[in-house]
Amino acid sequence: MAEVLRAERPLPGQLDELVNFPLVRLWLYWGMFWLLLAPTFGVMASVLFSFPDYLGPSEYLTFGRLRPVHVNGVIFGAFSTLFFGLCYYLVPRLAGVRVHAEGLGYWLAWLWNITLAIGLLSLLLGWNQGLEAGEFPLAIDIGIFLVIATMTWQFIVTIMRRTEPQLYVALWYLIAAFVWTDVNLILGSFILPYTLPGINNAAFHGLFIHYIVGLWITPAGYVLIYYFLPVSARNPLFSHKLSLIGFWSLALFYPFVGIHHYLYSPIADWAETLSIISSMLLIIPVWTVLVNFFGTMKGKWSSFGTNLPAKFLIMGSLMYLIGCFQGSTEALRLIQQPTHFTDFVISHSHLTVFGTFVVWAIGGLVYVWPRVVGRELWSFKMGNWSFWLITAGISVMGLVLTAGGLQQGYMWMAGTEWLNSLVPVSPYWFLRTLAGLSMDIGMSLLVLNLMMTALSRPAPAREPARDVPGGAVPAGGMQ
Amino acid sequence: MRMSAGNVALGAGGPCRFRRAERRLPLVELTIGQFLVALCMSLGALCFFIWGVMSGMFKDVEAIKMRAYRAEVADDDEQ
Repeated sequence: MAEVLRAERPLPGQLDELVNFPLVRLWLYWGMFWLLLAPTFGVMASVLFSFPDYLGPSEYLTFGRLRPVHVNGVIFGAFSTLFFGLCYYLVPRLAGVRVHAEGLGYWLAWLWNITLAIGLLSLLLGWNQGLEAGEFPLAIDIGIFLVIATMTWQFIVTIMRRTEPQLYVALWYLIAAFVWTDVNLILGSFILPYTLPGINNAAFHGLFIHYIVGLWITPAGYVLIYYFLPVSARNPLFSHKLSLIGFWSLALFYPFVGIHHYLYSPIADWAETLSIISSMLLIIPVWTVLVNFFGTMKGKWSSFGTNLPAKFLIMGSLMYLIGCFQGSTEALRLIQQPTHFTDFVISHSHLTVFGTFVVWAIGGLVYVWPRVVGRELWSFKMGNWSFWLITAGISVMGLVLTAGGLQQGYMWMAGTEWLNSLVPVSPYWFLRTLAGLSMDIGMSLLVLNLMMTALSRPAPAREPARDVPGGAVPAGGMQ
Repeated sequence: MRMSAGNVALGAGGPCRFRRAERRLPLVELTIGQFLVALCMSLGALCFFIWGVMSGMFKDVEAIKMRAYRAEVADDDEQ
């Protein structure tokens, strides 16, 4: 019956008419702002490892305050804000109808970003709930929840009104990401901080933080790459069936993963073992998505060098392969011994959250931005520089933190005093800062490039960006 | 000894806002609770899956990828 009631699917040329371009632009402008700001706090914090006194005695600029600003700024600022903007672009295109109550999107954009700005400021002032990735004070949590819950309603109603009876995999992931995160925010922001004390609080926090990563950032990232990789590579998705196997295995296995943060803790052994098993089972969704991504690129590698969005998306996929291999093996008790509390974990979180998901969001941004401003990308060369600076930075960061982390872990296991273990790892920390700087410069160049794209005058021959759907503005400029 | 972390006073007994609910739950109960939360998330996904099967979402599962792609890219063969 549902099919009978569906509106007719719009023709390819009509898809642009479904998108509210000013709304997408507003979200993406804010996303770029956070993309500049949040990683910079990470670099500032990392310099403290090599030069502990360089920020002076100010309590507002201590590591304990800079780090949560960096972590929350990247998760909720850079990644989530770009993701929301890209959702307002891709959801109407995949559903074949305009976003439900799309005017609300402007209010949500301002509410989200002002809330976030106040939240990050409050962290600098020391108003911190003490739960990693859940540090924001209650008022900020309420704002974040309101925006995500309202957007869940907007997108689900839009998807219910879709013209296409079947759901493309990006929409499966989108629905799941929003619904899971609504539930997780209720758990982590409104119940957890006010009910459970002590180690029980920490145990539940293991679930919350891993749901932020695995049931928000991961499926949201999949939404982006499953939509943007085929259209930017100009090749259909390799296998939709495989993508759904990946989706359902993520949905069924991931919820148990969070407990693996507490191996060798007082938490019951059976629960720890269960989390190890589900962590290893995550190899299934990881491999399905990777086979799909590289299969989608089949026959298109020749144009890879000039396809900037595809370069970001594929580079992110490589980081995903490495990061997820780290993540799953880290959950094994044997690997946990030399890696827990070390920089190995920081390597894993950077390779996945930044190297994969933020990079995928950047890939989507580079694809969408020329279309929403109706211009060709200002400078492909500068875009390429951004790509290589970011790639070199995250690669070096992943490598040195992995090596330094393993060295730390084995020194501790050999009985080295903690203070003595700092000396051999300090060169790794210095290299990590240089790697962070490289990424930061890359992102600054990227944002500058996109700003210049928006400010440049459209060349007459290049104008019909919105008239030709899909590949109107090929990656890195017209080909 | 108490340490101040922002607006939360920490001590051996945990944040002071927990004082009212000082009743201690045994760790094993909490672990089961944690397991149940994870199970509910997975069961929610399972319900979603059953809905997908019942509503025919997985029939001719590859067709949608071509329709979604063709809606965006009509001229890839000409490249």
